[in-house]
Amino acid sequence: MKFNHQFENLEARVKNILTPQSNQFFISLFIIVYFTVVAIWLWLNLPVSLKPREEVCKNLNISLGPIVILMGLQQNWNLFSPSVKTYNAYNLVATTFQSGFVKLSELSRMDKLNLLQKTQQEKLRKFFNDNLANQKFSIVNPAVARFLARSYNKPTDPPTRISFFLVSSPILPPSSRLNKISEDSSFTKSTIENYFDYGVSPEDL
Amino acid sequence: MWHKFWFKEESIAPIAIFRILFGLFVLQVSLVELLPNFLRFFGVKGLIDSSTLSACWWQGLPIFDIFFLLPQKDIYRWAFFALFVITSIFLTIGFRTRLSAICVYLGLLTLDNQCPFVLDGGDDFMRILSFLLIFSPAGKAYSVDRFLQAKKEGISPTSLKPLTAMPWVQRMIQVQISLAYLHAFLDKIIGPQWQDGTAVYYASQLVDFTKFPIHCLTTQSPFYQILTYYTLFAEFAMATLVWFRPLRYWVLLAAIFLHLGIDLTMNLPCFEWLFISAYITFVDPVDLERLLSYCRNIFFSLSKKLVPTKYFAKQNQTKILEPIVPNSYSFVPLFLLLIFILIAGSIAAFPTRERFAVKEFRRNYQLRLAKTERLWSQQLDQIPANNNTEEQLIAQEALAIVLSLRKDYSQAITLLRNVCSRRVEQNTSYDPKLIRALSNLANLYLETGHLDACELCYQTIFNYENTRLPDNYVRASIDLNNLGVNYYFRSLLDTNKNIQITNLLKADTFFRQALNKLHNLKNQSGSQFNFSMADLLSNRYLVLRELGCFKEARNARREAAKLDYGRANQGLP
Repeated sequence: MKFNHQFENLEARVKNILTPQSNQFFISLFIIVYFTVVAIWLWLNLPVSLKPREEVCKNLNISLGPIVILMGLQQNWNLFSPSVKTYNAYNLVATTFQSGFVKLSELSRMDKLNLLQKTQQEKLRKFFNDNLANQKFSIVNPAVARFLARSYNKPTDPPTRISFFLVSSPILPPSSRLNKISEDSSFTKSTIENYFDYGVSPEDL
Repeated sequence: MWHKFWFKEESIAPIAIFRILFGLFVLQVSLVELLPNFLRFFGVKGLIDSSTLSACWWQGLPIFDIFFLLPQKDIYRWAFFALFVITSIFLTIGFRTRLSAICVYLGLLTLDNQCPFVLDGGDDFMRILSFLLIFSPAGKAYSVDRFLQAKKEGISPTSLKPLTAMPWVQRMIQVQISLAYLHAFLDKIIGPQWQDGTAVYYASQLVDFTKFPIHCLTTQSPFYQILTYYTLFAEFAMATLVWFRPLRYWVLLAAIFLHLGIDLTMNLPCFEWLFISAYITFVDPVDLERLLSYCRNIFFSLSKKLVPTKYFAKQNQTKILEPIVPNSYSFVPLFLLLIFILIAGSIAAFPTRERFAVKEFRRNYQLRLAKTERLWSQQLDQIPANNNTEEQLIAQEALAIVLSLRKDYSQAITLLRNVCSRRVEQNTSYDPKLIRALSNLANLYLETGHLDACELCYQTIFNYENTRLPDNYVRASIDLNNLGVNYYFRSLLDTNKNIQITNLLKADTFFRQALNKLHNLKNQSGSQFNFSMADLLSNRYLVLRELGCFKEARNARREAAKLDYGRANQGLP
């Protein structure tokens, strides 16, 4: 009862302090700060030719980064930009077991899925096909290898080595279509690049 | 001007309708995209464990992630996710809207911070919108909250009118959308493909995104050029022209066409529709009310035919609720409360994150490799060079493996070749160590793309074992499988389609022979070789699928899944 009374008093006092004018002042302040932060963040994420100098970027990142990340305001609107990928690629994993047996598995092969499966696996695609082979994300490769080692583990024949390959095939430029260089556009020469190998240890399993 | 733009009261109908659509999209992402992969993304032993996340990704940055505050068991993560889905439903129907919005925001923050590697623009947009919705009066119309309030006041819910309020949150969403388009436009305009008009052509050729391809438009000049420049125009217009009232609806229409076109041809679930739904904040409330009353009239005229007329007669007697400006004094305390939750949550998670980070540093992979290499090198140095002992061969083989893991293939191959030739010289009747060394060498050739050398190794192993242990079906199946793998790799690299098919057929033959060997064993020893058979079948599935034998491929996959049961409960689909 006493607590309720105190709470009502507090609420009344807060209402007295926060008049419509002061409320609008705080909201205006919030709007200005929000968009300043977002605009700077977006500026930092523009391509090199449009963003500020490296040291300015670094300083702004250091000062703004924690606030933006804590509040979850980080954003980047660079889908298919500044340039669109000119190749199709997917990840192929070769798991070698203690016996020497090699198991192959594809990570997220979207072109072989139906629409529902594609929707369900979109986030896996984002992770595997967009990010995994990217140098920026190479720090997570051991974790993915450990996950695969655990998944494919056989009690009598544990995995010993996991190799990641990027199988990619270039997209023919539109001019080659025009000149009918290739009759079958879906068939182009693939390249296989081994970008990471992981030696599995018993504690990973 | 400032006051008029941000604070002049308007109907809250647009933001209330947007709240419903937003809630539905959150549910769609949660139930369709995240739920089937929940343990892979968020499980304690998921794709990226908490140790890697703490040490390698977030490092010392303050993040809000409830998973770090919970006991490290999957059951608690499932409970959190269930709660998140329930609060998303509450947000959609507008029950305890503000509290639900806070929960959805904190939930999205947690999920996004726990698995930042799977996020796209749609996820960023969703998280930002959930943050802004907290401060909006979105629950004051078309919601259970409003219904309950009306009931309390004795007013018929069907006669409720949306309230008016300061539209500053709605405006913030509008400005945020424009900023996103401006950024997207500036990002694109410097790209060479966007300048020469081929961007849409290349985007339409990315098989990862293909949905319903319209090749006649996206691969034919000048259509793909027109579509490329149309994309740039629509994005520029959404950043600028949308703010001119006479042009607004035309610009919105152009942007809707753009997103519908992308959605039709490309598989970007949610992203396009979330943006389209956010356009509702640009619609004039008067126009929206008109549209809604038109829809309502159609609905009631249809209902009257189905529902007894006395229900509608009662409605006419009810009084109309006058619009009331909702109390918006709560901004500062609400904002401070939110900041407090974020900071407190972030600080509370630090000890757990620190513990995880220490674990990650201890098992640092590159460091481990460097240490192992040093160890074996030292051991090798201590053995005299001309000493052909077993000890030296073991050290050389181990060093070769470590070197290969560190990408020093040439030295690793030299060492392994040396080990193999020395073991051959020993001329024992059957040497499993020679098989192991040859197998390792074949692996290195496979990884470096020397497929002829790789095949030679596998063939040598097969011949060696076939002559010495003709009844060892397990070894034979392994060797045949590896030969199949080699031919599958060849098929991927071939430029000639006929040769590619020949290689795939060869690979299939090897896999079938390997399966037959294992079948013989399975008949003798029961389920002991189930997992090996499953692996073989999954290898064969890849080949059959490439050959276009979809029925056989499906059967192989189904059988593999059956045999694999109980092994990879959270493996990859």
